[in-house]
Amino acid sequence: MTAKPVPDEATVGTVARLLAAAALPASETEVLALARSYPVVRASVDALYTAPGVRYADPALRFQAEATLTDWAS
Amino acid sequence: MSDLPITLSDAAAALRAGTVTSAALTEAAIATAEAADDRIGSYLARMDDTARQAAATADTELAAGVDRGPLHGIPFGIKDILATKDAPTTAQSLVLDRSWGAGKDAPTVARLRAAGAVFTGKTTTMEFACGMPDTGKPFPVPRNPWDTDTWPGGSSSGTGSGVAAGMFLAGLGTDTAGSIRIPSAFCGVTGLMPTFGRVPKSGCVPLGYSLDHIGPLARSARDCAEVLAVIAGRHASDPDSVDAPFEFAADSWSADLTGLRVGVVHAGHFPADSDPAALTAFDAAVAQLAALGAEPIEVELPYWTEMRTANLVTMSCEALAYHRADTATRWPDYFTATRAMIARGALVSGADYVQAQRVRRVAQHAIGELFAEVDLVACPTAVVAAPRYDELTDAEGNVDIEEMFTKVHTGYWDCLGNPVLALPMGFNAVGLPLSVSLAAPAFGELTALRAGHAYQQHTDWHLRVPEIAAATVAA
Repeated sequence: MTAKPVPDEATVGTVARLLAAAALPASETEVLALARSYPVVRASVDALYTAPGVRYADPALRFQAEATLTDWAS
Repeated sequence: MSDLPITLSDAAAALRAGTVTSAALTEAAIATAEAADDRIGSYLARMDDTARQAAATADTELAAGVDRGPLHGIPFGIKDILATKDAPTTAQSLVLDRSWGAGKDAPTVARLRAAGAVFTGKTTTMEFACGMPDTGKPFPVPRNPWDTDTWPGGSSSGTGSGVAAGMFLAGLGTDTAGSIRIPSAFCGVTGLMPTFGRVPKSGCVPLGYSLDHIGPLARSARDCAEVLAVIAGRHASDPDSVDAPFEFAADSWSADLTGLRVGVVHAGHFPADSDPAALTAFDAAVAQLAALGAEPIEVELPYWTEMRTANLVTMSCEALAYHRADTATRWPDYFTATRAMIARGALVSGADYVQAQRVRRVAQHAIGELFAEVDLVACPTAVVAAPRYDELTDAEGNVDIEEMFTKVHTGYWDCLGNPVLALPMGFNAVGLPLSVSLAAPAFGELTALRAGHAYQQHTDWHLRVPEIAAATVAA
């Protein structure tokens, strides 16, 4: 298994703050593990903004004005 | 080794020919589970008593000329994130409220029950259909019947391993980033992720609302078609489901693929650390399709990298939204790998989520253009076989699957919503299964299933049985 880089302090701090903002009580070990991959994840997400053809695209989100909730078990 | 049929289709024919009974099929399935499940971990809950009752009813009905269709009397496994009225639903989690879905059938389960399927039990899943097993939690660790030191794939682990081991002839799985196709690949069985919306997903504990698919795992493409025909069709409770029932006539399927244009994907799919057998087996599978008349055309998948990212962003954000009510107070009760997946949803913004959906839209358009040029796309489901559990553990003892997922090529298709059929295509040097995927245009399952059926008329990879099953199944 390839060893992952040790994250810098700022990255660890960013990840810790984001998790805390979402009220996720991650341990120090979990924060560190997520911080190790965070720079790569962040770069790949940032790349979504420069994907070809996407500048004026509508998102694949759903919204139906007349939608109602129907219980699957009823 | 039993001489009972091992495919759903053969069993259905034998039931109608009177050469086997549902009771016999069900007893064999129960005997296999009794002999092997403590080593494989396919089941979270077995339903031996109700299965025997359902089998007896099926035999009585069939004898009286009441025929509910090809699934009537067939032993069948249900992944334990789907609600069933006669067994608990746990999502293999300490966190899931046990009152959720209690006493109710998910629409897919209700359709299977009406079709006479004999439910043998609820099968193991990664917690909430994501992550990896956690030995610190009170649930079975699913193991691969081809080598119990290896992972059977997930998250539909128990359905894949159960079909491979002969604990049932078919089962339901779900797929958000590969959870039908990965266990199909690693366990050497056939799995179908239907088009998003073809099968209603209500009554299933959600992982990613816009990514979740419910579909079959079975021995063969034809078996998958039989299951899809039962579970497909709109249900008012799922706003994503569409009025697109699936109908087919397998008797008219031929092994002649003349005129079928098959896009073949190598680019980006075979990193240097792939199992060398994967490329050999994949090229052989493509050659077999060509020998049947198909025209291979080398293609590249548009937005390949972006869709893998969009899958992770979408899944983690939608999962965090679902779980946020529990994470603050139940964090230690979640599996370690589930926590990591959910937490990733907090590391991206709302705008990032919307941007992922914008790229999905553009990629959908691009894949539609590709499917104007080809009828199917063939690619390896994964370019590794089932990994050993000890290979998935890092230096600190934590399970780490990120590296393995660079060689598993499934999440791309969940993001697009196209149907994908995963078929066994051979074995690697140590005897572990390998798999080829056939992707089709939206609602083009029939094309993929017909091609898969043709391929399986000329190969027998899907009929291979692991030693653990061959040694335990009694006649």
